This record gives sequence, structure tokens and C-alpha cells, in this order.
Amino acid sequence: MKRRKFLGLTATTPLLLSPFARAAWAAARWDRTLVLVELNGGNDGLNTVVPYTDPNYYDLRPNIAIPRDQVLQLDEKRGLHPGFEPLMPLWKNREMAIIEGLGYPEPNLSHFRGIDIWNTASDSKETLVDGWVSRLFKRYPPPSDFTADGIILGRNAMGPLQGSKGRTVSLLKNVEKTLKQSSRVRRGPVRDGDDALAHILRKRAHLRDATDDIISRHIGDIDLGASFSTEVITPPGPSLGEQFEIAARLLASGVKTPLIKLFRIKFDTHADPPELHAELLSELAGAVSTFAEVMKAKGLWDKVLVMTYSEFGRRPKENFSLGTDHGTAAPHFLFGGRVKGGLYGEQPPLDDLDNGNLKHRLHFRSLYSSVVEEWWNLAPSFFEEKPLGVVG
Amino acid sequence: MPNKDPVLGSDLRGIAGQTSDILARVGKSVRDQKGCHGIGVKGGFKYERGEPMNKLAVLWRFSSVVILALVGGCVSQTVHDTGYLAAPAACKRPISFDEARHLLARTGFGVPRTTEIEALRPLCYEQAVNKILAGVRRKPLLPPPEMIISPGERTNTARMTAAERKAYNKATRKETTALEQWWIREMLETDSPLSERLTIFWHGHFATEARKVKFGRMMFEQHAALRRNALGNFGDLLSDISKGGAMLYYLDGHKNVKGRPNENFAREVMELHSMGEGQGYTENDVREGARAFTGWRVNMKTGEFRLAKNSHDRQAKTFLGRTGYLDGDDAIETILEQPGVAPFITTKLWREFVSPHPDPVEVKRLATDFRNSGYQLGPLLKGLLVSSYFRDPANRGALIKSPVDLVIGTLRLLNFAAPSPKQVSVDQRRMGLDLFDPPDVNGWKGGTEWITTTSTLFRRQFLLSVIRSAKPQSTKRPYGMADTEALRAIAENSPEELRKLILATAPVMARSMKGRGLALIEKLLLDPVYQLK
Repeated sequence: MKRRKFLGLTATTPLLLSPFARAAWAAARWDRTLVLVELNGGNDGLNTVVPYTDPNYYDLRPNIAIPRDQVLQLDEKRGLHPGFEPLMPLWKNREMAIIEGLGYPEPNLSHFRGIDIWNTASDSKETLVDGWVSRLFKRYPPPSDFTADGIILGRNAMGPLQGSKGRTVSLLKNVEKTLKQSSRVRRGPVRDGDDALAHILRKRAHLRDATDDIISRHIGDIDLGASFSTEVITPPGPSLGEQFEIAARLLASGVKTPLIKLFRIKFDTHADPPELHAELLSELAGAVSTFAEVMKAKGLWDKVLVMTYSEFGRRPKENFSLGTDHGTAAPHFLFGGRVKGGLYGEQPPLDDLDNGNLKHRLHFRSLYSSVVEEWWNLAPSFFEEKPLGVVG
Repeated sequence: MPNKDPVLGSDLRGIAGQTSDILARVGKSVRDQKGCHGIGVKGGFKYERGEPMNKLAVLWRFSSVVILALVGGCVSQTVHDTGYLAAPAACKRPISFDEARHLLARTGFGVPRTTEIEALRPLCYEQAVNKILAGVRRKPLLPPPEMIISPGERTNTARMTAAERKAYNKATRKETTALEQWWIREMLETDSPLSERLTIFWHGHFATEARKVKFGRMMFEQHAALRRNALGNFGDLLSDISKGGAMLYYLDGHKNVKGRPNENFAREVMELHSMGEGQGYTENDVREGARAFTGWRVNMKTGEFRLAKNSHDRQAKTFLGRTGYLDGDDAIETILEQPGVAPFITTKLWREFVSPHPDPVEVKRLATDFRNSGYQLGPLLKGLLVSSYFRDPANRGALIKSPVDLVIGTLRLLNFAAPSPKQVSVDQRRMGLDLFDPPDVNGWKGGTEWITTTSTLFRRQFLLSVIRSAKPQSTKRPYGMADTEALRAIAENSPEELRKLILATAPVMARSMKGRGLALIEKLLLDPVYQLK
């Protein structure tokens, strides 16, 4: 048993913080986990939250628009893609928030730069090395008896934990195998300092600490009471169903971490038939819906906040390949027992485009502010942008 | 050793030797034809072992260079002054085993072969440095993949149907795979690991991604230019890469048109390639620079540079304090006049070869010499390798091996006859290094970024697989056969000798020094210190 566990939570308070920061740290909601889903490639926002009464939408997308009679109506202007059907109970129960028109000034249409901006929460022309959660956790490190500062699933993309010196562990394909291999890595002596060897030994220790903790919880044996659909309809996987299942097993087994990050590739629908996008949205909706069911049964639905993000939205006008090119603003989604369900932000109008692209209505950092302040109860004004009042 | 140009490599077959003779006869020093940008004498790539080039053709090509130079159409620098490799005045004592190991590990793939160490032992330290620098090749040993040499065309995928684009992307991915495996073979076979290290270093510095460029020939031409100039003149390197198809495509230079400038390249050439983020330039310089570079295009068939006159902005510009009717060549020249270039490049090379913490005073001294030399990279690298900071025994093991160091170095150390390049590329990619596809415009961040929990596992799995392949009784050999004689010769060393060969410093695991022979080698490879160089 680790010595710290004897001493209780106060012993895990980082000693380096100022008295003010210590108070803030102590008030933080470290019992809450953000489950972040990266929709890699740039999700087509307009075909996800559909302005089904806007003739411009059907003019811009004569071949790939979602027909009016197929959308899941939210109000007199908007409807959801039919693939989101499994989410409707959450929507009706006000456990799902839709934040529209998210973006930032001078949008960058490169995948790599775009996701970097969303991961680091930098300005468009500014390059930051550390992810926004890394910077936050540098100031307020999660309790040291936690399993990890962040657990990365799906693909080894650190996202907002990039550049982190923190305790991040990745469990990609074949979790059982990864855990087994990790258990055989010799720990070695941990030493202080910034040099190369200290870093290598620290990462080994992080790997062993996290995986030993996870192994001891026998996550494979947990009865979830519901089954995730883990089939990969659109390769390559792993599917969101598989990843949400791992997340559910980790949380249900008592793994403590403030962040679990999931990753789904294939949203870069330049030239894919609309069916592919439909499959991806169905996969997301099915996985979130099952996840909610399991979390509710385990009494954890109030302790998790599911949030989507993506490097950009897509161009309103369809291209000649029955797809869409890189665009700008897009809607994103929050799910959870503490979410104040409903619509936030504003859908950018289709008759006021900038070079054919949507003009964002809400800086994406507002959403991050909600996570920092409303969800984790940390660091007011960590970002300039005000929180949305979307989490209670 | 008559006629042996140390920088061109010990292997002087082919055009290089002939041209020195030709130029010597007209009484000129060797001038780099690449200095004549925009004049149309583009040095194509010829591999050394290939069919010897027609002598008449050689004469024709080079006489045209000389004529152009004589008429004053071309201001070029003397290439590769090799004076810095002259025999040192004083040679006090032969290099020690540990010094030779450190020098070879840092200029090679993280760990040297015993034979490489032995070859340096009769020399003193500076002679050893000279020998390694003189061995750098400007051309690869192996012929490039056939599909890259054969003509093709970069096609605009935006105008394709979905099926066409899919087929095109598949074909270009195949080209990248072929290139990658060719380069891996070169790394496994080369007698000059430093050539490969420098080429990878510049590949990350001038990052372009095959997945965006989508044309193997352009990626190959860029690779050839990186290799050709790796230890040459930085100005030539910067200019050649900037005008290469890969860079023009990657940073949207081909979309940079008069009246609608695209700033992507103008920004990165200063921020990432020459001066450093926010160092010595303004947003206005980015805008004005972009105007100067308008009209730089690629020939879609050959992947070579061309100037589209109608797209070029001929109005006056003010770029980095210089005002005039500047074109792209003028902009590159102006960048090279900036005081920040030499320290930026010196610092980056320091981090690659010396330590994670460059010494500001020493960097300043080396950078001043570098700039005064007209940006000769050879003397700069030599300055770094002979510096007391490099040689300090406390500096051994201060750097983390890259995936290439770990994989190629280990396979070379254990004398694997012909490991599968495909397996090597899979291993390197899992550890975070995908040749021809760096993660982004910034290249590989390197250093501690190489080590994540995932790469920790993959690095260990790789070492376990190699060890399994090396065992005589093994039935699973993902890396093929190791040369058993050579391996036995290594295994016969005493435990302390093996430790000194395989690890940069003392092991951290108590068990690492237990046992003998292959069993001991296995423990040493799995010690965390083996991840260091």
C-alpha cells in the first residue's frame, strides 16, 4: 500500500502551491471525470445539427443534405441527424447540451494546426506547446493517489494533455495485453530532476503505478449490466463503443482520474458517401447512450461529463465528390447527469459566409471555461472567455 | 590519398571525381551549381553506383555552369571548403575506448559496433572527428526505388472523383512505403551513420509530410537535397529546400498568387527554418515575404521548380528592413543576412548532437564562426563535436535515443544480416517516428517527447523481439538471422567490456550486470540506460 493512502487526502495536496491556490485546489471537484471524445478529421456540423427549415441549407447541399422528414426535430429550426436517435432520451431528459457555432477568429483549415489550436486553446496565430489541461494541471496537479492524471484510449493522441510532465497513461488497442506487458516492465529507481534518465524512469513508474492499480481492479470481471456495440463498421477502429466500454469499466471499478480521452478517426468526409457520416454518428450516439445507461446504474452519471471536440467543422457547400471540404465553426455536445440540457450558442447563418465558410458565434474556450470552472471547480478566469452555465 | 575529397566521401567514382578534374583544368575551384538558382542548371540526382554518366554530358553540364559563372550571372559560394578537416597540429594521445564510443554513439545510431570503435582507436580525438565528418556521403549507397525514378505527374486530387482520388492516394502511399524501406536499408547498410543522422535531422527541420505532398518523386528530390547539403552550406540547403516541390506543395507555395498571397511558407521559412518563433521578424515581414514568394511553382511532371511570372508580385516590398522589388531569391538572401539565423541553427544542432541545454556563451562563439564562414555546416558540426561540453564525461547518456537510434542501432550492434525494412518501419512508427511523415510542420519534437507510456512499452517489446531473434535456439525471428559468428565475438567480451560497449553510463538495474554472454547482453539492452546515448 502506498504511504500516501494512509495519510488521507490532505497529504496529497501539492506542497508547492501558494495558500490561495491551495484553497482553490482543496475546493476542486477531483471526484469528477471529463470524458473527452475527439472526432478526428473535422465533423460535419451542419449535417449533425441540421437547419432543416433553412432553404440555403438545401441549396448548398443538393445531394447530401439530410431530408427534412428524416431529422429528429429539436425545435422549429433545428433537428438532429437521424443517427442520433439513441440520444433522444438524454435530450428529453435534459442531460444533453448542444453548443452551436463554436470556433475562433482567423480559423485555420489545416487538420494539424486546427487540432493543435483546439488542444492548446491557443489563438490562431499563436503556437503553444502544452495542452490546455496540461497547463491547468501544472497549476493544480490532481491528487497524487489518483490512478493517473489522464488516461488515453483509442489512439496515442494526448490532446489537451500534450506536452504533459504529468502522469498520463495510454491504453490503446488490446487493453488486456497492454496491462500484461506493463506489469512486466521493471520499475527501476525513481529519481528527481529534469534529465533524460529521470524522465525515462518517471514514465516507467507512471506506467507501472497506473497499470498496477488498474490490474488490481480486475476491470474485465465487472458486470456492466449492459452491452456496448463494439463492432467497427467503418475501419480503422477501435470503435467508440469499444472505447466507451473501457472507460465505463475503468470508472465502475473505481479508477480515479480527472480525464479520459477517446479518439475516433474518419470524420474527414471529403468524398465519402453520406452513409459513412451516418455510421459514425450512429456509433457515437449508441456508445454514449450505453455509457449513460451503465453510469446511471453504477451511480456515476453525476460524476462524468462527456464532451466532443474536433479540429474544425466542414464547408457548408458540398463539393463535387458528394462530400465536404474543411470548414470552420461547428456544434459540439455535452452529456452527463450534471449537464443543464438544452441549446447554447448560436447556429451561424448560412447567408452570411466568409469565403464560403461559417463565421463562428462562440469561442471554443467558453466551453473549456465551463469545464474548468463549472465542472472541476478550478481556476476562475483560467481563460478570458466566460463559462456558459451549462454544468450545474 | 590523391583525389580523395573527404566531404564528397571516400567513394569518388562517378561524376564527382570527373567534374573536379574538369573544373581544375579551367582553373576554377569547385563551384556549386546549386548556387545558380533560377538560371536553369538544375543538378539532377544521380546515384553513385549507377551507370556512369556520359562524359560528354558531364562536360556539357559543367561547362555551362562555368560559363554562366564567368559571365557573372551567378554568385555562388565555394562549396565544401575542407580546410577544417586538415590534420591537427598536435596529436597528444590516442582516443580512449569511452571517448570513441561516445563520439560514435552521438554521430551514429546511439550505440556503435565494436569494429567502428576499433577503427578509431589508433587516432587522436580530433583525427577521429575528422574521419567521421570526412566519411559523410552526399549521395546514398543504394539505388532509389524504381517507381520513384519513373516519370509520373502530381495531379490535383480536388478535381478527381472519389474513386480516382482513392486510387491516387493509394498509389502515393505505396511510393512513400517504397521510399521509407529504401532509406531504412540505407541506414542498415551505410558505412557513414552520420550521413543518415544529418539527413533525418534536416528532414525534421524542414518538415514536409508525404501524406500531404502526395507525390513520391517530390519527397525523393527533397530527400536527395537534404542529403546533398547535409554538411554543406546552410544557405544552399535553405534555398534548395525552399524551391523544392515538396516544400512548395506542403506549405501551399503553389497557392501563393499576386493579389492573393498565401502566408504559410513565408511564415514557416522564418519561424521554423531559419530564425525561430518570433525572433527578429514581424507579422508585416510575413505578409511582405509572402508577396516576394508569389509565383514560385512546381512543374507537376518533374516536381522541379519554376517561376510563374504572371503570378509574381512585381511591386516594391519592404521585407526585414530591405526595400525594393524583391523576389523570392532576394527574400531568402535577406533572411540569411539576419543575425538570428546562425544562433538558431547552432542551438538546434547542439540539442541534436551535444545536450538538451545549450551553453549560451559557447553557442554565441560557434554561431559567430558559423556566420563568418558563410554558413558552412561542416566546421560548425566539428566545433560542436570537439567542444568541451560534448566531451565532458558527465555528458554521456544525456540524450534520449530516437526510435531510429534504438531500432537501427540495435540491429547494427547485433549484426543482423538483413532485417525486414517493413518490420523496422512498423517499429519506428509505433515509437513515434514515421519517416517521410513527421507529425506536423514542426517536425519531431524529440528529446523527452520520445518517451511516453506507450513508447516505453513498444521500445521494450522491440528489444524483446530482437533478443528473441538473436537466440540460436529461437523459432520466432521477426528480424531474421543475426550473424552468429559476430554475435559470439561480442558475447565473448567480459561483463565490464560488454557494459562499456552497450551502455553510455552505469546501469540502473542491479540485475543488469548478472550473467554472461547473450544473457548479459539481454539484460543490458533492457536496462533503462540503454535508452540513452
